[in-house]
Amino acid sequence: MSSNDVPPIELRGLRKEFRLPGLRGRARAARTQVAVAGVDLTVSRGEIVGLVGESGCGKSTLARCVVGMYSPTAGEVLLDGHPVGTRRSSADRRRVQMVFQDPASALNPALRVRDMLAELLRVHRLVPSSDIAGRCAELLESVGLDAGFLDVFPHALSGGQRQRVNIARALALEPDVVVADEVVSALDVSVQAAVLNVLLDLRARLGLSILFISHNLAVVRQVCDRVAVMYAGEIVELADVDTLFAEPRHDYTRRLLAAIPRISGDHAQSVPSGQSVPSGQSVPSGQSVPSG
Amino acid sequence: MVSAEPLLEVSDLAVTLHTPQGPLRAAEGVSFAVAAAEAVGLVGESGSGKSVAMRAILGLLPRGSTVSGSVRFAGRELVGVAERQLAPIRGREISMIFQDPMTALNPIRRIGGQIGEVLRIQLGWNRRRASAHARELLARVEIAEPDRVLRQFPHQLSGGMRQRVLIAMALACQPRLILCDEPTTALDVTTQDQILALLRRASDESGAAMIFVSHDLAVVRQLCSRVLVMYAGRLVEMGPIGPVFADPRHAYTAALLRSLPAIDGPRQPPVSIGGELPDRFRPPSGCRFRTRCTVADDSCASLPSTLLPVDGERGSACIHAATGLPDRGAESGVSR
Repeated sequence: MSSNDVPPIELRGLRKEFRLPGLRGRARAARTQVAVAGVDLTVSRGEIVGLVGESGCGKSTLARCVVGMYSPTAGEVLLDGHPVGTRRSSADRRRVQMVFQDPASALNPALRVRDMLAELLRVHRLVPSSDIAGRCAELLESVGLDAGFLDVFPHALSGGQRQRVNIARALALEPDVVVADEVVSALDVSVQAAVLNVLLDLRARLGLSILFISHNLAVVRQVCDRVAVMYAGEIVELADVDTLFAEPRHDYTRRLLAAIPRISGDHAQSVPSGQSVPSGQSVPSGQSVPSG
Repeated sequence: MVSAEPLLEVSDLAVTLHTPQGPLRAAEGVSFAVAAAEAVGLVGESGSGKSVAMRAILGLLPRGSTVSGSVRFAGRELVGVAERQLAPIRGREISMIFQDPMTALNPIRRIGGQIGEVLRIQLGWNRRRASAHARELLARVEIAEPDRVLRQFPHQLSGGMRQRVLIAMALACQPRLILCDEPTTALDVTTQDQILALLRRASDESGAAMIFVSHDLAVVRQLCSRVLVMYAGRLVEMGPIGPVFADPRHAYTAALLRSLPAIDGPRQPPVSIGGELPDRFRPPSGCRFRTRCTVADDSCASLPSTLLPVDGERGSACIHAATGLPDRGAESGVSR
């Protein structure tokens, strides 16, 4: 950790509800869906915190609250210890950037890589216009792509290259925090590692803090320092990565770990849990986690 | 273990797809056999040709695609025969389970009707008999309230439930071979676990053979006894799954296993396979993996890449298979 001990990002009691459409009056109140049910979480400088859970557990909603795409129903997001309001200043917005799951749809197909990056630098007035070209090349270099890719359109890039461009784009704004939402799940295993190494390298060089969201526990184990396990909108377990995988405390974490197919050993003796995991929608308020 | 006459025998299968950029050789020189009641895994990354090879077996490729070679199923040739002759085999003797259970089901028809349709068309059953059996099939795939689900539409079911329905449909006519194309890729890990257990039980009970296509080596490991590995349109390695994963004999298989993040054992930094997949329209000569391979030399560029036998039941297209590959034994850091 650097000079100060104030975490670049902190969530306090973060809660996000959605109103389900179609009903009025009293029934409407009952149709409120709680996606994130009061989450406290801190990411320190240069730390990678994993956020794992199954579809519908609220991890992407949480991510969107962190970057300011959603405003929380209750609770606070603090940047460097100061709470950001529902309308963030442009400086605050710049400090938290997001990289999305699908590397293809996140890029504008009509723009060359150079133009995407240059646009950001111009709009946010980050470098004088004479330096824009140089900065674009530098950004690509930081994600392991050479300057030759500047003149390429997204369709000519492979999945792994596109995801690196997405990371470069997030970096263009010189953020303190990057929220990486399933950034390698659309990629083949042979290129996943290259993208993960880019993130690890950026953390090491720039002291970037990363909230790494994934449903793939094996990947989380490779790159994260701490892991938060989310279930039905709540964080049910938070531990450093080695502890979590060696001694999971929560029943849900244990079930999640047991369900991962292993590459070695014989056919797993899979024990059907006999209960399905509720989606956010079917979870009654005050949902408790089944003791499996 | 392989009986005299395999259930399915694929020899020298090649598929050319017609794309706006010109003809694309999506798979070539694919030869393998599947014995009755055997579960075979077919692994490879996107663009390796694994799904195309599966679809070619059932003649389910887009119009204008050309298929050469031979696919013999229970003594009958399936390549080049008329659609009319394939129709009674599809769904009845060979069925297929697709990756995306949402698009594989008709969104505007109830589940009961969709399962019943298979029985009515393939077996000529009447409506009453078909719907009674549909209920039984749903119970077999461990759907708790079959009567309710029969009346529901696909959008009312979760991903796991939809996949169970597809499995029920695939089992409906008691096929002898089930082709599974990434059936658990879209599912959460706990749901995937349940579906894999279900597939294993279903194939054990019905005695059907299975080809399980996946990019996930660990999933294939759970289900299959033998594995085929494809890269850039070609088979590069095959053999019993334990030995192949413990001691790969193709540089690609070895690199793929190394790149898998381990869930047990010591934590290791991510290891990637350098480079990118070759241009599918202009693949490199000789071994297609040589452009990314750490052991490749000049001979790799000139030698034809065909599967050669190693250690009896196994085959590898790597000319360095015999001399040994570096960092073998991907299981060293992975224990259960």
